[in-house]
Formats: sequence, structure tokens, C-alpha cells
Amino acid sequence: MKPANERLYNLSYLKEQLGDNDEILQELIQIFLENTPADLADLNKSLENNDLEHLAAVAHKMKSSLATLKIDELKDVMVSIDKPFKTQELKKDLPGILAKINEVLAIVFEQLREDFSM
Amino acid sequence: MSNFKIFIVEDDPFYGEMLKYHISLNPDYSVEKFQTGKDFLNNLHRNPSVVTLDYTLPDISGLEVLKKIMAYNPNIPVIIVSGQEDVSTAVNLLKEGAYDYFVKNDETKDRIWNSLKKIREKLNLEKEIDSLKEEIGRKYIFGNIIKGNSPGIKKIFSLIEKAIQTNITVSITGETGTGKDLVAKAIHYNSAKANLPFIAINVSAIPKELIESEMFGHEKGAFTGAVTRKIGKFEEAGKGTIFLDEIGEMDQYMQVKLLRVLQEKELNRVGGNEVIKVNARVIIATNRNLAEEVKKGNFRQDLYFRLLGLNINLPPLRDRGNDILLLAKYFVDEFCKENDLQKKSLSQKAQEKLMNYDFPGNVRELKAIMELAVVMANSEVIDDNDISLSAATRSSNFLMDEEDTLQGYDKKIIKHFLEKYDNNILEVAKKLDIGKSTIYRMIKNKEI
Repeated sequence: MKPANERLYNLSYLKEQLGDNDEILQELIQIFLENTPADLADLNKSLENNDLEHLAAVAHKMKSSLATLKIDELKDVMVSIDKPFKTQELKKDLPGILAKINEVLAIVFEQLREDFSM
Repeated sequence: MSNFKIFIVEDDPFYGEMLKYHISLNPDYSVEKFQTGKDFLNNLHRNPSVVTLDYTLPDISGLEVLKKIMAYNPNIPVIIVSGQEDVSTAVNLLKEGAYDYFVKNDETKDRIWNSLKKIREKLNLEKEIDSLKEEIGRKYIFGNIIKGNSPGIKKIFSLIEKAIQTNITVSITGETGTGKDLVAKAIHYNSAKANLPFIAINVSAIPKELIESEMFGHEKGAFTGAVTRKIGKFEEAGKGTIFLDEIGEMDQYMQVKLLRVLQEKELNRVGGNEVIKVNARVIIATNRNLAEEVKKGNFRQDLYFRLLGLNINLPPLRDRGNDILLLAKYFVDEFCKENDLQKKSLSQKAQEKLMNYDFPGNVRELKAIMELAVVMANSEVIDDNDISLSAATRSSNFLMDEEDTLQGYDKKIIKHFLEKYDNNILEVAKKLDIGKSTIYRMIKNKEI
């Protein structure tokens, strides 16, 4: 894990895509903060219910926004569980993987709220 | 609101919003976003110009949505945006009619941007082609191109009307300059085949040696100089119309070939074995009397019967009475309009001069005469002096050209009447009030 004050995300790619439009950036971050916790809860619930297919689908959905925010710590993690056959293979490791995702995202949420005063 | 409507179907609100923003950077695009397949399909009737479709949707699979779009309108380009990097999925989607397939990564948005640009260019070109086709169609609305009120031309209108209803072979006959090619185009562009090709071949304009490959195409190496494969006119016409102008000039060898193609409804390119289906409608034209040519043995009878179909025989201009003036005025108006000239009228004398002329070159000649007359006229009224006619006028065209003996005049008169009444000796004898044996004798003695 990186030092506590270092950001786990990098917004330079997103900013570039948006042509440095701060207003839309703000809006997108808000959408991210509003929607991602629900996705995360969905992910956790899938594990509880042992619904590995749904788990892969949620991971697949989350993958692109996390990649856009360049959250490097989760990059490989998300790809490793984005298909049912992968979740089947990693069945034993899933609790650990999800714990990691929860942990990283909790920090990301906090840091984003701080940066964007939300 | 722009009319280039892009529907984004994306369940991830974050990614969808980013895509929407990115695409909306082009002010010509209007973008809407849908988060579920169901929501999108409920809006499909609003006819998006392009759809970007996320392959993994929460409610319906991307493939299902794609199939529904294709069933609704296969012309809507669908760009699939997917997290799947699976090649077989991509191939499958493209087979189902997807326009493009992108995997979500850092370059996706630029790729979509380019793809949209290309689609837009393509749509604009298609629109342009459609409007050009429409323009051509308008040009050949037959009331616009064939003008006249005479009973003769009214009959032609009703025949054209009949020709338009079906795909029957049409043979158009008539003197030179009566507008046979215009009638052919009017039939094609007002028929159900209007959007298909109209291919014209002027049989007399193509050297005898080339006509076969021109009509049926040839394979590479079929003969010296055949360096590439060539698609023939019949093939080019596809399901459209092929117009064989001046078919009377076709030589015997080609007549046999043509007959075979029309009978079998298929052809081989010169030097080729591949059988090509012939689906084109055939319209032919000639200024010769084909029945006469058959009698003389110049035109095959079997081909003649196959080509005759619905015969439209265009009357010569001199038999169309007041149409001469109607057309003369029309050509004057058109020429003035095209050249930004003030409108000109025809003096009484000019009208009489036109009415007394024979017009061997028919409508084509009249057009040329009137255009010249507009140029020559010094005032707003075209006078008889402005109209220059190339040949003698009707009253003296065959008699007074040169002095002759009374017997000579007799021969000329009888000959003229024979031509006029299609060599019907009984009719001519009746008209001239002479015995038919007189005419027979003159023919026998080769006096006429």
C-alpha cells in the first residue's frame, strides 16, 4: 500500500478526455461516488450468496470506471474476476480479493471527497 | 437540434456520462443516454442515426438488443462498445450486422469519434445520392419531357402508362428525332425500377467486333487486349433496365446471341464459363421498320417477335398538328430561361411558317430551329425571317425541287403516295382516283 497521503487514483487521463472541463469532471466524480458504493455492495452480496456469475458481471461493470480513474492497485484485480470462469477458478481467493477492493475503494472515496469537497 | 442523433446504451453511469460528454463535444451531434436495454428499445422508434451499444447490459444481452435494432431498421449503424476482448464475440456481433466493435480501453473514445465521423460522411453521401436520384426521376416525369395535346401523342401517353405498370419488353419506333430515348427513360424512371440502373447502348455506335463484349462483358485474356475482366452492360443493368437503341443496325451474329440471352435469361461473358442471370427489363428502339427488315431477311423473325412486346410508335412531328406550336413555344421559353433572356413570342407569320414545314428531323430539329430563332430575333417577337428552315416546306417538298415533265411529276406523285400509305396500292389508287393496274404496271416497268 502506498503512503497514506498519496492518491490511489490519477485523474490526468480523465481530465485530458474531458478537455480540462472542471464542471463535467466534478459531475463525473459525483456520479462515481454515488454509484460505486452500490456496485460494491452488490459485489459483496454476490459473494455472500455464492452467485459467482453475478459477481463477475458486477466486476465487469465496475472495471471500466475504475480503469478510467487509473486506480492502479485494482487494475489487475478487476480483470482477474470479470468473467464467470475466472471467478470459478479463483473461488477460494475471492474473499481476499473483495476485501482488497473494499479497502482500496474506501480510501479512494475518502480521497475524492476531500479533493472535490463533496 | 441537430439531426445526427446518437443513442448511447451504457449501464455504467460513470462511463456513459463520460462518453456522452466526449461525443457532445461536436456541436453537430445530439446525444442521448440509456442505462438499460429496455429503456433504449422503448425509444428505438425515434430513429437514432447511430447507436453505441454496451455489450453487457443488466437486463438484455447486447446481442439481443442488436438483433432487435437490425430487425427494426438494418440501416442504423451500431457500434458495440464492450469490456469483452473475446474475438469470437466480436466476429459474431459483426456478422449480426454491427457496424464496428471496440473494446473499452484508453483509445475507445477516439475510435468512436472517428467511427462517428465516417458514418456521418457515409450518411451524407447516401443522402446526396438519394436526392440526385430523385432529381433525375423528376426530370423524367413524362409530362415534363413529352409534351403535346394531339390525339397521336395522347395515345403515346396511355401506352407509356401501360408500359410503366409491368416489366413487359417495350419496342419504341419512330423517325429520327421523335424522342425514342426520352420515352425509354420516362418508362424506366416512372416504373418500379426507378432506383435501379438505367443502362443504354447505342448499337450502331459500337464497332461490330466490340459489341458482344460491350453487351455481355469478357473475361481477362478472352482475346488480345482483354487485359482485365469487363462487366457487360446486361450485367451492369442488374435488375434495372437495359435500353438497346438502334437495334435495327445489329448484325446477324449478334442477333443470334441476343436471342439466346433473352430466351435463356442468362449469359456467359466472352471467354468465360460462369453463368450470369439476366434480370434486366429490355427496351429497344429503332427508326427502321423492323417488320420490313424481317421481310428483307435483315432481321431475324424469332428475335423480332421476342423484342416486339409493347410497341410504342412515335408519330412524326408533322402529323402532330398544333403540338408543333406548343413545342416551339416551350423550347423558346426554356432557351430564354436557361440563358437569362427576356421571354419571346412567335409572330403569326412565324407560326404559319412552322406549321407548313415538314420537320424531317422532328422534335430534335424543331428544338434546334427555335434556339437559333431566339438568337436571331432582334425584338421580343420572333418573326418568320428569324426562322431558318433547312429543307423545303411541306407544299413543295417533293414536287417543285426541280423542273420535270408531266410524266415525271406523275411518277413522283405516285411514289410519294406509296411511301405515305405504306405501299398499299389499293389505298393509293383510291386516293389518286386512278386504276390500280396503272400503279402495278409502273412498278413492273420499274418506273417507280
